[in-house]
Amino acid sequence: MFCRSVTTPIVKPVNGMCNLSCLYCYTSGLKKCIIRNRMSSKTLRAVINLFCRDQEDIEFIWHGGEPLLAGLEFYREAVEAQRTWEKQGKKIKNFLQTNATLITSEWTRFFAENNFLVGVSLDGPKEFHEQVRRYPTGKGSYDEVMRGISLLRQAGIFNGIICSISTVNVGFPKEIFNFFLTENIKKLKFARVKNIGHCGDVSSLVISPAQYADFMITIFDLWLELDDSEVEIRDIESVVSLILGGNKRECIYMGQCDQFVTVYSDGSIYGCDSFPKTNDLYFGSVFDKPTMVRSNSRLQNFRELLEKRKGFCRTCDWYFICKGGCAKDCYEQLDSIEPLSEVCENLQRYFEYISTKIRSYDLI
Amino acid sequence: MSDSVTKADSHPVPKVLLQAKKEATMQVSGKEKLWDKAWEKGPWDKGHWANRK
Repeated sequence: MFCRSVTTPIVKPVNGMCNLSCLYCYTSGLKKCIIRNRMSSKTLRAVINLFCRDQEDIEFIWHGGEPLLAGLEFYREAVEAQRTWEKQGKKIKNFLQTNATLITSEWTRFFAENNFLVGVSLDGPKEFHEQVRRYPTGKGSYDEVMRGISLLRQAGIFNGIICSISTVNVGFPKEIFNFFLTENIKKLKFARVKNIGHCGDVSSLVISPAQYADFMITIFDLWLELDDSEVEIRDIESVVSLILGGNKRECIYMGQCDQFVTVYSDGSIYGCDSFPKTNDLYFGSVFDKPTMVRSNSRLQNFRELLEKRKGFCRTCDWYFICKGGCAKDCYEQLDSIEPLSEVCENLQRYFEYISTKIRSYDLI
Repeated sequence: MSDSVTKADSHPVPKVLLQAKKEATMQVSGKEKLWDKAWEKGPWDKGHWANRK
């Protein structure tokens, strides 16, 4: 067992390669930042074997760049390699995050036959989405994305939306919320566009923690007002559950950032891809023995750092929710122990708002 | 009339909160389905979405 570290791989079979050129993507701007290698069959098998060997329940998250660029045959090989482990009783699940523009009925048939769940990136109504999620030619991708979503729905494998919130759409929470409802898209996750060491300059699109908190508070009110239990907004449901004494936790509220790792096409294993290819979070390779990866000194250092951060935050009233928060979002540097006050203040404001609302109904 | 009744009369508790409360209670009492126990491990529903894209 991986001792809860390095359990969940975010696999990037084509690294940052993508058919789109979204303005806020961390590979946007300078094409030289993109390593254009597809994962080989040998590396793919090593990925599957490394993560299946010591775990009973394994989740593979296929990510990019655009993971469909790896080609259907790549995923056929992945599933075939997983079968060997499933025959030994392992439970394996596959999730894939795509821009949906390359989805065809052949893809959806394969995904459906092999129980993949597929999430799509869509930044709200066409007028917002097309300002940022474009082809390299500058053409917007909205129509192709919606066509892809339609195919995924028909196949019963559509797993909801990640909607990135940038300066383009942060001022329009109601329009975005209503748009998704109108399109009958009821499984949502919002993500703040931030600077995580991009190749290009994304500063014009980055929003502050305060702007994001305002946005999410409005979304919470809209969600409450709508009162439709089919509408799932991951972050809000997580915070609500935790305030009510439950244990739904988004990864950013787990305090276990060492659980997630990114596997690049050459088989190298790094920390969560919020830290793209950060040397201090290089934990080894899929060709290493699991014990070597587990005992990697950088991984040990990262674990110690997470514990120190939790120690610092433990006296906070909201520690039971955020557990020290996202290792990337909440801290200025990788070695920082004290979280950024701007992030904390706005998370606290968001938690307090939801908590007060719940309290007003005598539920706590 | 108690304060809570007044609130209930003027502002019925939203169904989404009632459902969340019910789920939270089940999680704590261990009555959740086996699948849901995956929350302890990490991703909390049928389909983890990596945090960013």
